[in-house]
Amino acid sequence: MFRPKVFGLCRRYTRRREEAEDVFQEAFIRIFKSIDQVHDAEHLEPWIRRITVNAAVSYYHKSKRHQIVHDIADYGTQHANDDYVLILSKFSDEQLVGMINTLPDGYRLVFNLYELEGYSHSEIADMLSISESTSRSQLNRAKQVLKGKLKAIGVEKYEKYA
Amino acid sequence: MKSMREQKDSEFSRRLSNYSEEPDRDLWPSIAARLTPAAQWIVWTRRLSAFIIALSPAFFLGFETADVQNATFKVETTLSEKSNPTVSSVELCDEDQVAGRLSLPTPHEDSVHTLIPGVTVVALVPETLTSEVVKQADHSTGFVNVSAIVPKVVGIGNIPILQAFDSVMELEAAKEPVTEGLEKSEKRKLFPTSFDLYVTVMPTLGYQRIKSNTSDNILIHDIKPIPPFSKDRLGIRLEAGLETTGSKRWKAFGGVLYFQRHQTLSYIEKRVDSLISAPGGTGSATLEPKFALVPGSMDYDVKNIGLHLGLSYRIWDKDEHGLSDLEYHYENPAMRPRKRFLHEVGGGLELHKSLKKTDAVSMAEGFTNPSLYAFFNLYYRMQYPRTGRLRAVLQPTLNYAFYINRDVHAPFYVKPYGFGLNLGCRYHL
Repeated sequence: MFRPKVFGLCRRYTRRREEAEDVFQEAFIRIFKSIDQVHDAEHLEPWIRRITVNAAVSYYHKSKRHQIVHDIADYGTQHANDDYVLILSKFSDEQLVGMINTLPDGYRLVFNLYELEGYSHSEIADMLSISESTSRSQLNRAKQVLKGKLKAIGVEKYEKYA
Repeated sequence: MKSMREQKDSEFSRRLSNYSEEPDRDLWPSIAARLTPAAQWIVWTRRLSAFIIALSPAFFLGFETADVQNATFKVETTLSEKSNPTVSSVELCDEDQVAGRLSLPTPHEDSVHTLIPGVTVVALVPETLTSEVVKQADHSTGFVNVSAIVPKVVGIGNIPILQAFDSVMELEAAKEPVTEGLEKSEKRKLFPTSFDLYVTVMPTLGYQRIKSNTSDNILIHDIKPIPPFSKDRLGIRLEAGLETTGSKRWKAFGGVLYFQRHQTLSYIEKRVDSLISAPGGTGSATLEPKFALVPGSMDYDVKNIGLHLGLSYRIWDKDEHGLSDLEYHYENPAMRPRKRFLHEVGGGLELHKSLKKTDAVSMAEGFTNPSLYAFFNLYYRMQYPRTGRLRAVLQPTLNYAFYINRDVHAPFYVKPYGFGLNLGCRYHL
């Protein structure tokens, strides 16, 4: 029942499918080992989600790579006429996840934790052993990179559909 | 009204917070295997052994590398149009995987690949290099094994200097599966006899079973215990030998060894100090001995040379996911085997001859060391890496003396046994 959701979560947090499979395995091992802690079926899904996120964060810590500092100057300009909702609608969910996957590991993790899971910067700082200001700046950079990618690809698509 | 930025963020959240994707079904056996206690035990054993091996100087002094990722060697595999459909599921084209399996940095290393029945393999390598590919059919599994003999690689320390070249392995469907009618000679070719030279050093913790000599006039009242992990129990054992491989799992070995340990056994002897005589009836008397407790000690000194013969058996062909190499090939081609260690169990017989000559003082006290010992031993051996010419060895071992030529004059007999951790290396000749 939760299998596709858990794997979808793993895909969002990792760059490659093989890495997602590693996180998926680790998450389910943790789930099976401590499933007896859940007494209320209502809380099962958020519990599984939390376990999976923790497994992804652990994986990040284990396989921390040198981050490439991206030049974000190219993505910094905001265009008033961009209709991002419309642009996003041209992409499938898989394509959007693929776009998130291309983010550097730190950016991707912070973006997922903050934007999609709803963690605060203070919580993210604790989880990733970074400062709150680093969490904020990584989120901003992640957004700018994504925005740039969307603009670069999305506008082109949008024009094709026009 | 939300800003553009907020629109984008909430849209991402709406679209992706519950994003789902179907995982590969093959992940479940791996998860199940890792959930079993045995698998956990194996994983921790491997971690521990990896840690110990990392401390072993032999590991760092090795002149071979397993780091194929740094190698400039490249292997490509293509499937021909004639290929059987099942063949196409075999992905041997993963560069790391193939290179790792071939153990290419090792000079003249035989690397066996197991392929699908009815598939022949042609390896094309540059003419300037004297590579050779040997194809042999495995009667027991019905598969074709390929041994690639690769050119010599020059290395200094553990840094290889590799000759870069490309090779292409081409798989074609054979007309007839090569599974039937293998002669003994062909089987022998499949597992050619080869030798490993091994050298090990084993710190041991020695213990002994002590039995009083009931035929003498000495009464042993007590023996002072030594803590089980005391340094007083430490001994050392060195061994060097050859191991021959005649089958996929069984190996026989023979070696020479030197064993040394020294331990002082403190005991309390009960001696008759005096006799109290009491008159009995009708001219008889009752004698009651009074004992005195006299401390004594015995230096149990062993310096032996010996011969060691035995057999080992390869176990745990599957990795921590419960998958063998074959299963990775046919069922999970996308997954990479994670096995790194070769696991074996075995046992052997040791015949020791003492180098120690009993001195005059000991002789006068009635203590002489035995001159011959026969031990059996049982061990569990891990080798790292699984393949390659030079491998590190970690081998917990139990030794037990089942025969000693006893000295009839000794106050008690000592049968030594001990636990040790063999550390060493093996070199494939």
